[in-house]
Amino acid sequence: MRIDQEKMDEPAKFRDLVEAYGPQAMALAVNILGNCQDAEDVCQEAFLQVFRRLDRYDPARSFKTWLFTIVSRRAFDVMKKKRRFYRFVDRATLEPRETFVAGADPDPARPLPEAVLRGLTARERTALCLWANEGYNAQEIAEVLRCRATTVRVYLFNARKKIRSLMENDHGVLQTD
Amino acid sequence: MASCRRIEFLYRAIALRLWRGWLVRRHIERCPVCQARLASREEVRRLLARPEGYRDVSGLWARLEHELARPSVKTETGFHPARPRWQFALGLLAFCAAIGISFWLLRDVRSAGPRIPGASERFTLEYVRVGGAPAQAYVYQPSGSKMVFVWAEKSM
Repeated sequence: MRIDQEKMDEPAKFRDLVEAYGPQAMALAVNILGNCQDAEDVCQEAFLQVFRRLDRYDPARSFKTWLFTIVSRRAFDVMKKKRRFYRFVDRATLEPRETFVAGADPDPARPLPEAVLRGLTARERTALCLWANEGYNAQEIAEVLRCRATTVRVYLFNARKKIRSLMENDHGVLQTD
Repeated sequence: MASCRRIEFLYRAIALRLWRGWLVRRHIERCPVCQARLASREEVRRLLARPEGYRDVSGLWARLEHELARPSVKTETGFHPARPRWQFALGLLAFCAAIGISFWLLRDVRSAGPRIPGASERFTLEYVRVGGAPAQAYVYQPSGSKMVFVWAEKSM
């Protein structure tokens, strides 16, 4: 999709943008945060930021990568705030999740199983999501996470290894209530 | 296989990201044995939330539309995208100018004393007599003032 900065002032054009990139942005946010409500808030903020700062977008760069950078940063901010809150309240309330049934194709909108959410860091989950869902390579993920490709390789390796280990020792760890 | 174990040991032993990244790039990404120990893209995809599950963005769009319809939303959120960069540049310039001027003013006051030679250096009293008798003479100039006091004291 071609992003024309001058024509983007019209809400109709903006809607096209949301329809084109909304699902990917939502999936990324859900994979980072682990719940749909926060993910929707993050996406809303991210798209508003995109709409208002479209003049800062460099057409030489990929629009999707730029959007993912904004989404991931917003999601990290939300996580930071929540962590502070949970530390204060000392309890975590997460959305109830569906059960992962091995072999069956799970619901694509289902948030991450608890074990994956807890076992992987937010940056590992971001790298993993971009690698698995978007087919990004280490360099592209590094652009989103604003780090080195070497670091992304380590994130991906660690995350994939942890998931493999969870799958091998799966005595219900990948099943969620 | 033995080299894979060695690589794994080295990966665990040295917890440096650069080193680990290098090992991943040089060996793990190319080695089928090591790759088999990692979750594949398809396996990962099955665990993750996927874009297909969020095709319906009407809810998100409704929220966005509501936000965009609010005229004061930009100022309420404290975000000023319309503000051009030159305004920030101008502000920064004014700030730097204020700092520079203050520094210059302070420096001037501080350096006024040491830069101007003391009164005793600029005035020389060869010989002073008070009431026909030789007298002790002192020259005094208050700092920052152009006034010079000459004090003569009759020697006892």
